[in-house]
Amino acid sequence: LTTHRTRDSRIYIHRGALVSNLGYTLQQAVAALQQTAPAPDWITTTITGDSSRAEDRIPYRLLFPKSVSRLSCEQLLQRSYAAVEGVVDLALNEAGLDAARRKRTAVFLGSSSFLIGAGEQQYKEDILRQQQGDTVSVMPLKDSRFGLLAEYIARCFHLSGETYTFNTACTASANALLCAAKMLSLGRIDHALVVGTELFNETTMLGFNNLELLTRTGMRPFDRRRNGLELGEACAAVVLSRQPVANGERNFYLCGGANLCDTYSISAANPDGSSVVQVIQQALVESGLLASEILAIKTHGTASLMNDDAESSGLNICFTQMPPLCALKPYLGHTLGACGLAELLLFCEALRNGFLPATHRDFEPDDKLGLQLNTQTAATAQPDFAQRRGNYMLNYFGFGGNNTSLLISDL
Amino acid sequence: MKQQPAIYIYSSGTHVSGAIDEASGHALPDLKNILAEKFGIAIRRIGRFIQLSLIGAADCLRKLSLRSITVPPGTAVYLASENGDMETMIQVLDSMCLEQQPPKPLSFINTVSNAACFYIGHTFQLRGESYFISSINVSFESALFMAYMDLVLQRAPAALVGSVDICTLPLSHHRRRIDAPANVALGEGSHWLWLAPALPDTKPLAQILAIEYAPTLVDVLAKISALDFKGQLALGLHLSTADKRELQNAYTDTWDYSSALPFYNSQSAYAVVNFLQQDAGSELLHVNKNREGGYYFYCLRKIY
Repeated sequence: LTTHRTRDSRIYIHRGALVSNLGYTLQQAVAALQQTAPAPDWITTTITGDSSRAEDRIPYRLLFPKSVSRLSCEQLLQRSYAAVEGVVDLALNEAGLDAARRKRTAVFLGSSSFLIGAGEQQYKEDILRQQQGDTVSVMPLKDSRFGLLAEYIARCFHLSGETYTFNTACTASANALLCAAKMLSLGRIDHALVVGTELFNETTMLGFNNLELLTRTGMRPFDRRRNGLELGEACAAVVLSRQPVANGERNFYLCGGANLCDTYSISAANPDGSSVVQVIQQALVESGLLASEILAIKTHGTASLMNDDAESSGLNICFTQMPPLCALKPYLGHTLGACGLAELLLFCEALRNGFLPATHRDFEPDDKLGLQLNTQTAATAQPDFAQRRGNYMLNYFGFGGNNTSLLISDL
Repeated sequence: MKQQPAIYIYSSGTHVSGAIDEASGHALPDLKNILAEKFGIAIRRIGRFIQLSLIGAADCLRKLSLRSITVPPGTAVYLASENGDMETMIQVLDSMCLEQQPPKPLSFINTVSNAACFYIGHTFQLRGESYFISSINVSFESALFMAYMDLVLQRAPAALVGSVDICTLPLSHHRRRIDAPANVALGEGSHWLWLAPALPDTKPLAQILAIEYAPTLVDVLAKISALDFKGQLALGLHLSTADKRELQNAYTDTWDYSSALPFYNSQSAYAVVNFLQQDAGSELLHVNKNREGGYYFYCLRKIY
């Protein structure tokens, strides 16, 4: 097996960029992590319609502008492209890629919804125009090709034109990153731009609502009061390279990772934790690391009953001495296809700032799960993370039986 | 640099539906029946994309079974498609926008493209890596490239690589969605390969000599020249007339695999499968192009 741990085979993760409900930059997001998580936005579904009923209002952590349910198709498209362009521009500049190196950069994009929010709105607008007597071609999914956004990024930023789009639900951008690392390690490309994007759409909102997976009382992963998740929007981008960041800042690199198909159920990992154990153990093997060498873990932590059962069972089997744990979704919401990259970048940036992200301070552990999340945010309260470097694990589990575990290091 | 292991094709599977024509009554074929009757697989409440994916994968894996080749449970699944499960997504959009109803739970879950990967994993007990990959005009080539790298890096013991694109009705909408020319027949297809490094005492069908991306046609020709290739040239669906002319100047033995096919986006995968199933030809070079002007080519040699 090839691991990325030896110095000449490392795949470095540059600082990258993130736009989310926590702000336009990673620095803003890290500052927000040291406060109480902001309240989510509330969307009234246009299908059930009656905003006076509490159950018709759905929590969603949104980017600006937040008036998504009143935007036209054109405005939604502009909003989507602006968010993606913003993070890609920042990520390319953070990595210092000049025009020549951009020409040797391939794009790896992960998402579960792509531009479907604009597609939904276009269909609604066309139906309305037809009802008003206009001659208009009414059809759903006017352009449904998954590769459009990645192609747009390559063209817009004068990259190599080599693009790969991944659609594996909540693991999409983590898988995009894993595959980018493989191409880098074989020397097939010089740089990889990895992008994760997930933007508002009614299909996701109503689908999760109908599955009764959404909370109305706050997202509390592994807490005994947990009762579901909040959705979130995010766009994240980062450059991966075989060369470390030149300016001497804390360099994170990918040690390895694993992706496995969980055949237990299309909508949940096996609650006995066996499929979580398999992907974690394979990631450790691929990375040449032992469980005891992991300094901290970013959990998937969706606060849905089945995910937290499976994840806690798996972690308890793999780790006899549990490292400190954190969950980022109470801050970002569940950003689905973007969460792989969005949470990785936010996690690294928090560590660069000397702390492990914390979950809400009133965390009440669930004895059945047996996990304790980190609740201390201040750098002074976490000398280990301000002064020590180490190996870190980030876990992601998605619909369609798709599980991914990443191992990074700054040693 | 460490020598990379050779990667071989041990099996292929395929299904093509076409040409589909609403006017003459040739509607979409009943894939559920094909899946049940030909492969004994009956799964409730799945759409045509998942059914078509299962048919091609089942055909590929059954041939391995007939040759007593054991499929490791760690086999990676790479599914490529240009548009994925359009049928389910259209149903969900119609439900929301026309009927003012939220998506049904299973329909919503099946809108995730890797739902087809899950059903393949579940049906054939494959628990290795599982990816749904797309790239405009070159989805199959991208998936084959990723799978090939996995095997070269020894991250997976074997890989099941497929390309699947379904047809939806009405055809006028479908033609627009997939950007098909006005006068061509429309179809759908599911084409699969099972790849692995050399297996003891087992003869492969072919060796993959190369799968690569090149930014220009000059680069493509230079790379192929280094392979000392002497076989048949297959022209990808998205090459320009000038590209075709230049390639045919360099390689005179052109193999026409696509003119009798209905239009759909998985034809690059059909080329491999069809080449492996015919007697003629020992080496195949297939070249295709994405919309950014970059080229993907793959090159393989039959093992006799």
